[in-house]
Amino acid sequence: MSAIPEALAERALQWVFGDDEVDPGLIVSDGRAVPELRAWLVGLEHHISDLKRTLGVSVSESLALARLHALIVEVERAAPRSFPAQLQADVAAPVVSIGAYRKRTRRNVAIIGAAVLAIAAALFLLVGPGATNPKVHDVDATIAEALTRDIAPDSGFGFGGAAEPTARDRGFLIGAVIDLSKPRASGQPSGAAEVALAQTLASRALQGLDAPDDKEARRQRALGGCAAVFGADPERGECEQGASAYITARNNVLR
Amino acid sequence: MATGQFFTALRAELEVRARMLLAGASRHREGRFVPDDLVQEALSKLLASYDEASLRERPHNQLMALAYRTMRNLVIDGARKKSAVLADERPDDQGGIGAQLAGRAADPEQASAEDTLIHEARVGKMRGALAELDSNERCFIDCVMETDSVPAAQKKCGWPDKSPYYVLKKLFERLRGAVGEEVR
Repeated sequence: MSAIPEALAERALQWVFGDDEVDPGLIVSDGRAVPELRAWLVGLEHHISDLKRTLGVSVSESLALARLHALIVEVERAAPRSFPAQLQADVAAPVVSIGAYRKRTRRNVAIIGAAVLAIAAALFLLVGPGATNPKVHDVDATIAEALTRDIAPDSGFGFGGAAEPTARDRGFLIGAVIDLSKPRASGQPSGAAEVALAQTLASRALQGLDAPDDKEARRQRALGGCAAVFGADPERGECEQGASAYITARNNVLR
Repeated sequence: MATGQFFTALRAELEVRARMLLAGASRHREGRFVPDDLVQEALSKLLASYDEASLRERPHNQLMALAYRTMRNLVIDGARKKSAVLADERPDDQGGIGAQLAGRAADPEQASAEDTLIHEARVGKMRGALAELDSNERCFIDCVMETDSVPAAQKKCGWPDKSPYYVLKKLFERLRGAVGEEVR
């Protein structure tokens, strides 16, 4: 039985017990060439657990074991699988209950609430001051001003007017559509107002592209993200950047 | 590689690192990042600091090292600010592993009599093996298990002088051999 390369084993230990200097992604990629790595890591995990219990140290609170387990999961994910093994894994995969699904998709209500306010400000720019309730800025001046004064001009977003949005603008809007469409932290689905706003933003995000006529179908397409909108088109990268910018803007507003 | 493919590949690499970087923080739910958001932030930061051409020109290892450092710094900054950006309500099997670890920890009340006997035998052997370590080795292994940190253990025990991870690996192998586990 072949041994685990010393250097790889030491790097794994350095990731598990070190101070974040080692890039764990490289362990995973190098580990693809070492089929025995996963078994070695699992054995190590059991050994460390036993050792900790013997010494009376908590296992469930262990940062090292959490990291080691995450490494095992990633090594497993990265390992090339034969078709029968893949099929077996698929068949054995547990069916996700509705309760678990709802729990999984919950997010902090602050995200949704702030995103709604943030998008309201973006919508203000989109449809123009004449058609927008001037109270938008009264609702949360901080968020509105952050988006209109700081984020939008610096990044060069131009949501208003009739011009076709850039790929980056589309990405920003797609990020917002996805956020608005998520269930609330309470587990309740998005409200009618959130869905309507998401539909409006999705229409704007897809403007000028070969998009479905139905507004809900447009929202569903936007929910697929930049990949669904651009496929392999080179503009997808810019779209991804826009979606990233949305996340950053949202988080900055929430901080 | 087209722009889309480049970002797709970069994102995939970042996702692997994000999941592992955040694994240890999964029990501290308030203020933790969600892996997807960490990836997005890291991408934004990379694109804000370097133009796309500059990123694409880098050798893979250099790009990955840069990406990892960017993510690690974001996590450190996030911890310092203690910003409650998201309280991730997803179950641990979707974003964290705390519950998995807790679930895998042996529960003596749920273990069968046979399991308990096997466990007791292993603990006995382990205690015997630990007793045979010299004082430096014992200090080091105790401290590593308590702190989950080799640098902290090395500092506290003043040992080993060098190659602490190599020493730790050899200690694990000796202990595993002593309790009858297969060592590779």
